[in-house]
Amino acid sequence: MNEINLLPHIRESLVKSQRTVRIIRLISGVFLFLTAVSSLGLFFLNLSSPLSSLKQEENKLLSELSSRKEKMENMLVVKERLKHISGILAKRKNYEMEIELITSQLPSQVSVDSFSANQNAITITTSSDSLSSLNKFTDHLTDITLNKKVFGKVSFDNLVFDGTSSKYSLSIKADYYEK
Amino acid sequence: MKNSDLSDLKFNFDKSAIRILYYKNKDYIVPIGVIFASLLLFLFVIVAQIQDFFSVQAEVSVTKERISVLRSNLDILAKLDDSSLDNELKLALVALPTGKNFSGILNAVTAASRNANVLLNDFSFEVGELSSSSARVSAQAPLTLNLSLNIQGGVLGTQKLIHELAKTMPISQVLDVNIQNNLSTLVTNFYYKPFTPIRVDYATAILPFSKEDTQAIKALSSF
Repeated sequence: MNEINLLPHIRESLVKSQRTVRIIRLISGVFLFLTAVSSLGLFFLNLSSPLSSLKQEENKLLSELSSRKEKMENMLVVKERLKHISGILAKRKNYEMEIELITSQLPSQVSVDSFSANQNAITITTSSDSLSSLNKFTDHLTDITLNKKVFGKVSFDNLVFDGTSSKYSLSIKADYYEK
Repeated sequence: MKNSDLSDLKFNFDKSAIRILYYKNKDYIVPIGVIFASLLLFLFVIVAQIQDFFSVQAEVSVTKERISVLRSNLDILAKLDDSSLDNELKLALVALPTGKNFSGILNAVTAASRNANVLLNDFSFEVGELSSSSARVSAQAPLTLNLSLNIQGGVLGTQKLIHELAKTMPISQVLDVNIQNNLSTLVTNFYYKPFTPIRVDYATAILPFSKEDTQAIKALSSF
């Protein structure tokens, strides 16, 4: 016997409504599942964090270091002093070397009457009875200046001939080479 | 419908009506309730958990870095020999004393003139403030004590004295040299540096002695 649906529009709406309910249930299940999984996952992730063991290790290291506090302080004092000492040693002018540089090739007939040096320049007064010896000395200074070893500029202050002692006196000013 | 008619209209939401409504829409209410609850949980629990997770991760990373610094500091300190550190401290404090060490300076000058074989005539200190608490605390750079030395010695004698002074402690720097015949004047600065309080922070990386530090120690040891 064949069945005849006398209310086809009601049957259709019922099927439609059941499908909607199924979809909503599915979505709610997915939501519930995702919420539960992510919550549990994050809970275990946070639980498995190594933070507490790291904190313990940090405290242990801190207590070991605090037992060596004095040593650390001493080291910091030494380092601080050495920093300043290195700075002073590096910047201090080496007058000894400069005097050596000037006097090393001083001709035997030339003598130094006066010498003065400060942070900017050296002034030297030499005397000799031979003008050529003084000339040799100035050549030597010129060489030093040209090689830019120490001095950047050399100027003659004066050249005087003293008739009573028959000596030439030469004053030279040498400015340090500025790097 | 008039307004007066509307005011007369009463909704009677009693238990049975709610029950009827519930049974009629039960299939929708429960899953929608679950979705809503899930969303609420996500917003108020899971988001907070995610924030916690990231903050814990950040703290783990910071703690790891701090531990690495602490280990390195401990390692550096363990490798340092106690007695050599004590010697280096003594050396550094003699080379750059904490105050105006007059006796140390006089000893240094006397020894230098003796070694240079020059005769020390007279000398004068430019003392400055004898005890200034503000200078003591605020000094970041080394301070100086100015000394004028008059010696009997020509160019060579002065050169030798400068050489010897460069090897004496407290460390000094010759500022001016004046030589007139056999008389010389040296203006010299002797350095000192008051103690500045040192704040020990274990979590700040300390560096081992650098090449410059080692060279300075070596230079001071040769004085």
